[in-house]
Amino acid sequence: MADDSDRGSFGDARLPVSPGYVHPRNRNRIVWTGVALAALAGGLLAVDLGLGSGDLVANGPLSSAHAALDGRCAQCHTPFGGVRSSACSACHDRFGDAIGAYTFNAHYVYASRDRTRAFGRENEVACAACHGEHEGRGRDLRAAVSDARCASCHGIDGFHDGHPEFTFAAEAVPDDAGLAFTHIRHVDRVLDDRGGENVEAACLACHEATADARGFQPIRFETACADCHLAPHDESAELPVQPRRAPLVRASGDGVELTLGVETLGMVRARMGPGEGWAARMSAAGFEEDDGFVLKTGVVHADPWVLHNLRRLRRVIYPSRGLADLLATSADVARADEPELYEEALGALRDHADGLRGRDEDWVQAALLELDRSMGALERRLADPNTTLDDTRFRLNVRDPRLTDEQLTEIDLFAAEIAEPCTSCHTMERATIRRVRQEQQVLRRANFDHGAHVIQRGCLDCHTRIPFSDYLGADEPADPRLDDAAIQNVPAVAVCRQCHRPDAVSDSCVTCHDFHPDRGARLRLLP
Amino acid sequence: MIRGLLAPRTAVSAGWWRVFLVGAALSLAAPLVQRAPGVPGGDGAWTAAYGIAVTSMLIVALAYGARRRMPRRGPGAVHHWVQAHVYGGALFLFLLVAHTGAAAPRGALAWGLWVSSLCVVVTGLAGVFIQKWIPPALTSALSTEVHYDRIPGLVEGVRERAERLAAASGESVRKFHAANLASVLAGPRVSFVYFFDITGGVQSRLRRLDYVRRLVNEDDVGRLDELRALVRAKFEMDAHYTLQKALRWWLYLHVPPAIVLTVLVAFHVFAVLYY
Repeated sequence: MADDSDRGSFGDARLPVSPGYVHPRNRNRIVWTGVALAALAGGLLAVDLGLGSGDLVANGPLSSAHAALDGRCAQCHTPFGGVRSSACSACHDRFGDAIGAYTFNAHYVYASRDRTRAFGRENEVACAACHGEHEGRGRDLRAAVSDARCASCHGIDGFHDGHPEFTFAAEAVPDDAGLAFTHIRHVDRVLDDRGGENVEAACLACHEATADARGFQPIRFETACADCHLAPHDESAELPVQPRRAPLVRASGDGVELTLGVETLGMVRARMGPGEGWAARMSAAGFEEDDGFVLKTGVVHADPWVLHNLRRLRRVIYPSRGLADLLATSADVARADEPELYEEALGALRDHADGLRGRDEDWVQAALLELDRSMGALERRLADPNTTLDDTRFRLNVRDPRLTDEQLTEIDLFAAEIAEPCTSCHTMERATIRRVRQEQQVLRRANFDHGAHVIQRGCLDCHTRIPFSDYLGADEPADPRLDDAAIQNVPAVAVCRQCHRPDAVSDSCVTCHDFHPDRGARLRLLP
Repeated sequence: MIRGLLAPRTAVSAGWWRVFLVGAALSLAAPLVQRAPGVPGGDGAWTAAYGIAVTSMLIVALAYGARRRMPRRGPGAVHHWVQAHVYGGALFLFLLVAHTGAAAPRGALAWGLWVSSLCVVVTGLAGVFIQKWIPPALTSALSTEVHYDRIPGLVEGVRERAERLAAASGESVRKFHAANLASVLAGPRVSFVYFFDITGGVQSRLRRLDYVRRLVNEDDVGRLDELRALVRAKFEMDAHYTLQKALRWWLYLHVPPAIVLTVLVAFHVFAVLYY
């Protein structure tokens, strides 16, 4: 090594220049420090993953609902397969559901009613895509779905910005409940009877909350209407009795000849045909017959004698008897049994059509064509919860072509006469008392909790379309156009937005909407 | 601030600066585009895309470490690799924010990823800053340039020469040396004052020697002047020692966390694919 003096000096202090190459200290020490730390961290994670609970690797604790699955990663996670919806269904569909209660298909059918989407397709959106886990014990997997998830398909930024007007409001859909009802007049009467001016108390006199206070129980005639309507002394109109020698309808040339009259209780009892057992139980004391006319005193709600005579008229209009005769009357069937009854009837119709297939006679082919068309329409009607169910649906809706318009009008007028005690409340349609829709046909895809709202706002704060306050107690009745049963007295979306907005009450999609149809809705979706 | 740290000073880095600006703009715009109605791909697809991008940036940044260890004739010029390392590392942070949705991490691994990522990026930016600031500062304000690894030896030489000078001097210089200079010259010293004043206030610290110079006899004036030059050189070497140490030791805050981050990312990628 050379001496310092050989190479000179530098600086004021004459520091010696380096005698040779200065070897830097070993720089690998930095790398090895990092490797040691990384090995420690990696080792901890590997041990936790292989032998421990996986908590270190997990992206946070599971929600409270899934806390029992802590440390059981394989319960949900498939190696290199993510979280498959089948793992969710293993528990959540445990009780079976043909359509797959929590599938995207169910949601799609729920929204579109396109039943072809319900089968034979893979789920398009996995459960885990919306219900993100490992976000803490307090995470509500149902409520924590972000609006962005919905917006990715529905293209709506949020409730406050982009949510369309409710369909009934945008399309001015009337309240087609099948009733002729005047809200103002009834509220006025309730206030008169009970005293006071509390309109909302008057509302609650008829609209009784359900046990969970989310909605209202169906209004029943017996509890809400019977106090005032159909008292024992109420009578039917004086109706002509059907002459024994003159049937209701008789062929005459190319047309028909009508002799409109009602069957008396005695006539029905004498025959006692299928579905006419009511006649044996009905008291004859209420009937007064005189000079070819009959009058019934003490008409009751869903009076079997009235309904029987209406059904006779419907047979005139729709002579293709078929399955309709298997059904007693629409009013006789318990509401809960209706879907089953009509599905059974439709099944019988399908069997009949299948028996005809393969025959090449022209009339058979024409009949099959008509049957298929009618069955298709019937299936759609049955799937549509807004459709009135009555026996006319099973008469193929093929009106007797021999009937003239004048004769149809004559039948309608006679039907209205028969049902005269009923028509002060009920509406009629082609000799049929329309079924009363107990559930309102609006906001069907949203959840609304009346109980949560009514403690903060009054009924009339939202239900503003019928002007109660302008007419209650007034000498003159309300303009019929303003107090019409067809008025959909439900607020438009702007009313909801008064409170539900980004800086106030929650306005997320899941505040009102469920991705998964509830069980009741799913029943209607099943083919 | 970020422009001060990352802005280009050469034509080569100007190109990389523009690439970085475009990348950063895309990283910031992508989450807005993602939330627009009608944009295809669910959140998961976008998150995965950000994840792939952020992992790619990490690999780019890591590749610089490998390139440095290659022979001089390795792939690409090293200065390009440096630019890719710096700008890729900065972009890594932007993409990481997009990948995580700027949400607080959940779980130990996620926290580890966040903390190590922040540590690596912040120390990396700090490294860029001190590498741009310290070398010019050392060369512009100090009269000596000295190799970091030689400083202990040179300081030892300065100490020995100072002791020899003091021994040859009169009593007043010897006492002054023993009381005031011996401890100063004992070895290299780290002082944070050099981060704020590169000279460390050397003039005020030498003023005492100037005062003593007026009190010593004629024979010791020359020795005291030489002693003054040695003390000044020692202070400058302390400045070099402190700041060059920072240039070396910031790597301990950058490289080991980067290696830990790499392992954690590997675990994260495995966990995502496996689970």
